[in-house]
Amino acid sequence: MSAPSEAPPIAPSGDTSRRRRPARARVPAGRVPLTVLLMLVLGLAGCGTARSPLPIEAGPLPASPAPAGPDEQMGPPDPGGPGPASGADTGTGGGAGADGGATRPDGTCQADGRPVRSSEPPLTPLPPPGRMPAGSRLRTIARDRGYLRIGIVTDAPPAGLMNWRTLRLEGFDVGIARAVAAAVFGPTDVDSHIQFRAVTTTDREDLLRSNMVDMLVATMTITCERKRQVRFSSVYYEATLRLLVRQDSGITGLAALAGRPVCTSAGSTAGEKLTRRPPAQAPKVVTLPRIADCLVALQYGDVDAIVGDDVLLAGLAAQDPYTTVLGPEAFGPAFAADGGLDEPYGIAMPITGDSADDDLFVSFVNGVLRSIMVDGTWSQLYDEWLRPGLRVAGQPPLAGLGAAAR
Amino acid sequence: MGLLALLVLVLGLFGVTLRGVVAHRLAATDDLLTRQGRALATAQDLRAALSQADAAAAAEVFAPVELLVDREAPAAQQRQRYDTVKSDVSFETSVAASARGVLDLRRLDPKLCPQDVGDRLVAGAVDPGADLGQSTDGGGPPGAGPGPGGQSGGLEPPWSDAPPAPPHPAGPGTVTSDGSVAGSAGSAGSVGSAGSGASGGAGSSGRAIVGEGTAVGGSAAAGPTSCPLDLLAQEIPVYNGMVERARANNRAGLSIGEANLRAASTMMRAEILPATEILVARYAAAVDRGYQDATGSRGEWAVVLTAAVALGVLVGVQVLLVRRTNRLVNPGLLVATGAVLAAVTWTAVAFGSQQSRLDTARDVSYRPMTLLARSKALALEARVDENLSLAALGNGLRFDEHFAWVARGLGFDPSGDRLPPEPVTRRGSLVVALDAPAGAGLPADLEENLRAWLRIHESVVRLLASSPDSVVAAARGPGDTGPTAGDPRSSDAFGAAVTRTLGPGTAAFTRLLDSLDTAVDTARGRFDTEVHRASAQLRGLRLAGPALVLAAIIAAVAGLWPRLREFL
Repeated sequence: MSAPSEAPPIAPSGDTSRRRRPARARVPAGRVPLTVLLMLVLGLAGCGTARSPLPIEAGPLPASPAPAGPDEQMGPPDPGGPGPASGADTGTGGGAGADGGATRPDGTCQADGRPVRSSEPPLTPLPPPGRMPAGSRLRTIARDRGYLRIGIVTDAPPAGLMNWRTLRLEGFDVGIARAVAAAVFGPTDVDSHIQFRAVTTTDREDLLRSNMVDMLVATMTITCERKRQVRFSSVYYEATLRLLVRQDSGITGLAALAGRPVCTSAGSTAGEKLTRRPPAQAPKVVTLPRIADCLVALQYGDVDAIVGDDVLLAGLAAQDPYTTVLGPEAFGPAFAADGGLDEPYGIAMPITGDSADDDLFVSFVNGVLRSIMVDGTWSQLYDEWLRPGLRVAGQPPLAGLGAAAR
Repeated sequence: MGLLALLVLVLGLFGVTLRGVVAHRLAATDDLLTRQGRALATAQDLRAALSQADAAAAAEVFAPVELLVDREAPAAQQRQRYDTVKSDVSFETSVAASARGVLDLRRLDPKLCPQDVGDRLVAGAVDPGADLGQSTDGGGPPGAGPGPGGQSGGLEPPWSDAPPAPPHPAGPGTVTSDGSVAGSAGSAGSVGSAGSGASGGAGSSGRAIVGEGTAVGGSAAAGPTSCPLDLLAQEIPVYNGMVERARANNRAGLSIGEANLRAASTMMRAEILPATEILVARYAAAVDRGYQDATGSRGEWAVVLTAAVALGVLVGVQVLLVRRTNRLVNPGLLVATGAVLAAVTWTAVAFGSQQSRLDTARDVSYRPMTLLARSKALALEARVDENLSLAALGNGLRFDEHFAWVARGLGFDPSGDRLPPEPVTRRGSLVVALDAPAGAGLPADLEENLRAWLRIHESVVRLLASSPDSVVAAARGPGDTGPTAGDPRSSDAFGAAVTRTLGPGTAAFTRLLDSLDTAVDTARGRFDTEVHRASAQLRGLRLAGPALVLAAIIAAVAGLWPRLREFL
């Protein structure tokens, strides 16, 4: 308000010319900073909107080549199996029978015409511990290396189990493995001569083929397909196929399971048997990495039954009192015919290419098996581990060894 | 008269625009601090808490032996260890923290999951083992595979379009800003197999979302559970139950406890953690949008244009006055011009410094914060792999591979060395954070702690792995590995591996986690400070700008009024 009141006194004064010049200069001078300012502001506007995207590295990892989920293997692509060896064993490998690994109706293998259970004759007499035959793999192991690498299952009682309280492995298979090691190194301090390696049903063959272990005592059923890839000892336990169901669920046999999900561990023979010889209406086979995962699935109601070997199912039933193992009649006569339920367990050993050495190794292991069956170690192991679950007395499967010896 | 009106109008326009733009930027900057930034931090905390719960749960396998670590130690040391073990409730703490995080997010972002209680009641119960059911072989139900919009599809920034739209039922495929975030992920699968229902229903929604009950048909399923917060609220208790089941079995000495833990961990990784990733991505996108709001060039242009027009008119009027009257100077208009120029200058300076503050906040604290939070999540994920692999006694090849993958995500190889920088592929999150100029502010021992932990892990893996038979390898040809490096391993390698992981391994990992926590907290604090300073730059302008313009208007009117009177 003061400005206009002061303005008139200035204006009448005559020296307009003096003031005009600076005034004229003022207008362009006012425009210069104006344009500069405008440009400054424009420049600011030009550098414009700031963005703040999440750094790429702070984003989620791309999908891993190794599956994030530990049980990714359960996914649909599983039946093909990551391990090429498992292809023939998993649920959909029904076509496996077409090639040379098939079993003939009389129980012999098409590849060599010998019975499935046949193996090398047991080595008699067994060389004493520490004095293995010269030039053999056994000698290399006993002398040079000093320990035996044995693959076992560690989460399938009563066959093999890590006892977390004592941090010791225990179970029937572990006992057999220790007996073999004792025969190589002597009975004292056996565990220090064994390098145990935990295996799952799917990676068993791969471990042998890549020579990561010397032998597998891992609830492995002798089959003609597997015999093409690994060497088997004679039978150390005659397992049979069984069904585990929830008690009083009304499921009394395979027939009641038509169209229902039935679980088995990936890479086991059971799934293959179910699909190869389907009942009128086949159950849906679900394969999980480990048999214990099957029990979890059963508890959560995702599957209605578990099919597997009697030993393993007895181990599962012992962990869940609500479940029960059905007898062999549950599969029906057609399924059980021709030894359809038989799951003869053998110790698997690698095929190294030196067949004479392989033969010696196998027959040494057979000799050990024979000796522990004869001297009562086998029965002791059976009574300790298998009998509580199976609730029947067990006889060592000496027949194969005896026949082979003869 | 028209001239004056024009002048006042133009100046007023400038004032209003300035006020609006400044207020908008200020509000956006404040929101960045109190809303988006906090929501992102909460989502990251939620993710970390859940990962930590997973890691703690995976370590439950070793509960029977956690006291065996100091087996040979004197009793006093054993008691000390017992006391630490006794007070270790990290699983409970983490689960509780995650539940709290879900609540906080609901409060911070109520639009994310509209409170449609009615719909939610219709939804089926959660099937905890649904992921186990996906493993049907070939003849399973259709859509058993995760659809194209599976895990990764759900992670796309959900706020691709404008802020909150009114909640309306999300059609399949359309991404609305509220709620249907995960719906886009699920829709791909659920549309394809809408009617499949039955037990395969869980499979149709891919791995990212489970939750639809097995019995409920497709129609009711896709709605409420597609919201990540709802999903979390439903699945966290279920997960908790699965872990408790595993604990009970472990305590009873049953080996199925391990399998239970694997199942729980699978659920955590396949369903729960992806949902948190959706949340993190959502709020990261929100922060990005907050930045754009707070520094929007549209507002700047409006200010510049109105200021230019105002100044132009002012100058024009002055020139006109000089020409029409004999007065050279109109003090009122001069004062008005000066005021407008002052307002413009102030605005330019304030905007500029606000933006540079925000840029600093981004480069010095926001980026490190997100990178470190990711590093923490990755470290925890690797810890889960480590524990599960050890629980499988070295037969966790899958876990070991995943461990290596996650370590690579951190920027390190599993043996603890930095990976060589590969310009094409993404670098490791921790390496980027450490190498950034702001990395100097990180705890000095961060990298060393990570290395120590990775080295212990590496030694455990080596302890458990067996090597190819040297005998056979020699027969196969040279170049194979030699004898097993004088490492005659006994079966007690398992025991040694467990005690090494539980003892020094846990200690090293705890140190790593602590230093990561410190680093994340520091970065977050710095972000808050910087953003706060940025908004402080605008606070003065919010009042001063309009005041200056008002002064300009008054001065202009006062200056012009006498001239007008003369003319009239």
